[in-house]
Amino acid sequence: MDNREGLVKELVDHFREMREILRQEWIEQMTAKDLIASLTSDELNSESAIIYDTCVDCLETGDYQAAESYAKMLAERGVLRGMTTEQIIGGFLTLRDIYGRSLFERHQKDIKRLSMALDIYEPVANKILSIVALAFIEERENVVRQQEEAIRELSTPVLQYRDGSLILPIIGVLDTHRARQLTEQLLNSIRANRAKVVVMDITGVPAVDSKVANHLVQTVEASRLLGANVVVTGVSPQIAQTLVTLGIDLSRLNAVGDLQGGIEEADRLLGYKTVKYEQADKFISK
Amino acid sequence: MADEVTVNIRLESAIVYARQKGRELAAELGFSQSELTIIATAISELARNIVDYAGNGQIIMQLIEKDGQKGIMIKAQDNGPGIPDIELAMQDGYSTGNSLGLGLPGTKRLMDEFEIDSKVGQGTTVTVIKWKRNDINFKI
Repeated sequence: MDNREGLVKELVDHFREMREILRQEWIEQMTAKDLIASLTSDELNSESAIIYDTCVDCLETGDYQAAESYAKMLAERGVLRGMTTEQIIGGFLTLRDIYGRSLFERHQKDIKRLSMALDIYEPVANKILSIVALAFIEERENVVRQQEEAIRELSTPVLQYRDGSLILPIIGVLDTHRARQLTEQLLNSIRANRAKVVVMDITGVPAVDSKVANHLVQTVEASRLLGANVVVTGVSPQIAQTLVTLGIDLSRLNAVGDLQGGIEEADRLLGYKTVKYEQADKFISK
Repeated sequence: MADEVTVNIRLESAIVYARQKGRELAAELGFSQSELTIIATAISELARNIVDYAGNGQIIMQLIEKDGQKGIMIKAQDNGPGIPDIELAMQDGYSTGNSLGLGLPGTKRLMDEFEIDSKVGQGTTVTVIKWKRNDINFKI
């Protein structure tokens, strides 16, 4: 055990002693491999020094917390600056190789000692790499999650079209979460606008399977309980055929071909009649 | 041209992905728009079952050829709880979850061939095939 601790100290001292040489070599190699991205040479100097020292500290103390928080910060900034994963991971792999090479050079006459040194060095290097990689993946996942949230915010407006009538254009994929949100939004709007008719347009829904159809049927039923009639429009021929083959009972749905037809139907249900103004032609420039 | 695609199914978003991939793959054989919708819907139903009942599994989609006929084979497999009574599960309107109970029987109607193999406690594999109708060649 003593032996091991002694060797760790020896390695740490070695890396500290070689700091400038190895660090410069690292920068050179990264530049040659085009891994630098948009860092200025000042930034490159300070960042490479921090990374170099953090790695040696990890080796010395066996404590990776500093590395973890630094990697996290690096990930946040890297993604913001548009650095690629390849540049970051590639940079660390290069550093790992440089550390490793310097150990080979140092202990090349004593294979036994070299293998002991590698036994100590390799797990630390691997651990640091996995910390960096994980920080990156986590950061990417965060971005994806935020984007998902943003898309949900955008989705499904409920539009008032006339007193007592609403239009609900559904665009994109309906998953369970969105269907639930949509139902809730529609029901609230029905109550707030005292709506009697809702035109639900699904032209923009790419696929309807039994679960999505079930969501739609349930939304229609719930709307009915609030006193609103739902007219479904925009069912494509392909979707119509598929739904019938699947065996979904849509007899409770009031469906009309397209949005225009749906609005006409809504007007009819509300007792409105659209009449063309006789002199309308005058206002349309030809 | 890759004629086999595997999609791991765990989250609901994977259903959409599997559906798109299946559609792309089937489009290579020149299926019509309605047939593509039918195939995509079948994939959707099978993937949905995996998410709802098994938690995770795989959808494997493959272009196949038999006796000069081309088609797409879709295999949905999971290591979920399995189906104790397949005959019951194949009935319209039967569901242990809160669904319409049309997933399996509906998928069978959508596709040309349907095979289900399930062992309680081990998992379920559903294999379906849609054949491409051969074009009729008129000779003049």
